[in-house]
Amino acid sequence: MKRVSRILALLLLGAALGFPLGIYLVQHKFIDKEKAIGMVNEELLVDDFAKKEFNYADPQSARDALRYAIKIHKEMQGTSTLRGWPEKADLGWCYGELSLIEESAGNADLARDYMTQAGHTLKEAGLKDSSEAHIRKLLQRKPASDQPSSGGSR
Amino acid sequence: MKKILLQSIVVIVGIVMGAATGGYLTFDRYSQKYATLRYFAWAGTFVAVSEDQYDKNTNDAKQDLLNTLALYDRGVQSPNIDATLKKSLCMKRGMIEARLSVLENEGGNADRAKSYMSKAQEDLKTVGWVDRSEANILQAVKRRPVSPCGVGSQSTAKTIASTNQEPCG
Repeated sequence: MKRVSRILALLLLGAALGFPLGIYLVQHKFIDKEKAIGMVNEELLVDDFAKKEFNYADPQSARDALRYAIKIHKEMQGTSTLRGWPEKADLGWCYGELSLIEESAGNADLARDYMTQAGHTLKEAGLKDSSEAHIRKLLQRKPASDQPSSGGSR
Repeated sequence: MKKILLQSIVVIVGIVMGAATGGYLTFDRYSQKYATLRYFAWAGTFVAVSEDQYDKNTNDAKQDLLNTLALYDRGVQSPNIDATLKKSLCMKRGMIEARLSVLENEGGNADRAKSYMSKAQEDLKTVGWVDRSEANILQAVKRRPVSPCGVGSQSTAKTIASTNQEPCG
């Protein structure tokens, strides 16, 4: 009887040591990585959608998609651990495209604001020439095919 | 000596059991709380792989696209995903259907190709595409040349890298 209770005590001791170890391993070796991939993929999906809407959809759908993409890009800035300059550049292009949409809708002030934000963001992302003329030139290019991930139209 | 060995084995068995329980409970809580994020992790991976297979025109391309299509169908029907995200899934689903249409056409199955194309047109109508002609959709899913930079050779990356004269990757 004494022997059995000693074995049980040792087993419980082991389990008490193993329990936090299991939590740590699953959290850091799997969950954190999958969460990071999920966030990046969600951001890329929304960005790709916005870029395609800009090229193929009606202005209102494109505007909605771009605004939503900007919102998601901003949310991910603080939370996504895999975020880098490509995602930052995508945010810049979203601003640029939204600027062109607002310009064609006659909203000059809004268009100017968005273009300024596009310039700042793209400069931060590493684009050497982030002038309005250069951004406009790049944005006029139509995509040759479906791009599966970030920067669909660029 | 034998006693110490036996006790060590019991402790190790306890550690393994404890670790398995802790890991399982953590994963279970995570998978319930972050079901949508998990979905995006896998959907993004599936679509990247299947589009790559399509671009390379491999034998697995059709099956991979069908698996991805099933996953996107689930996403579009899910009540846990918000409306705008659903629209982006819907567009992606349309693109997958268009790719399947191309593959069916190449395989000589004109009827199935037509069916996939009309599904694609329906999905793209939902997301507000203006020109939903077959030619325009086929242009959007044209095979991309396989880049030495792999899937990661994003066009944004190309633009910035080429502006900065840096090698890809």
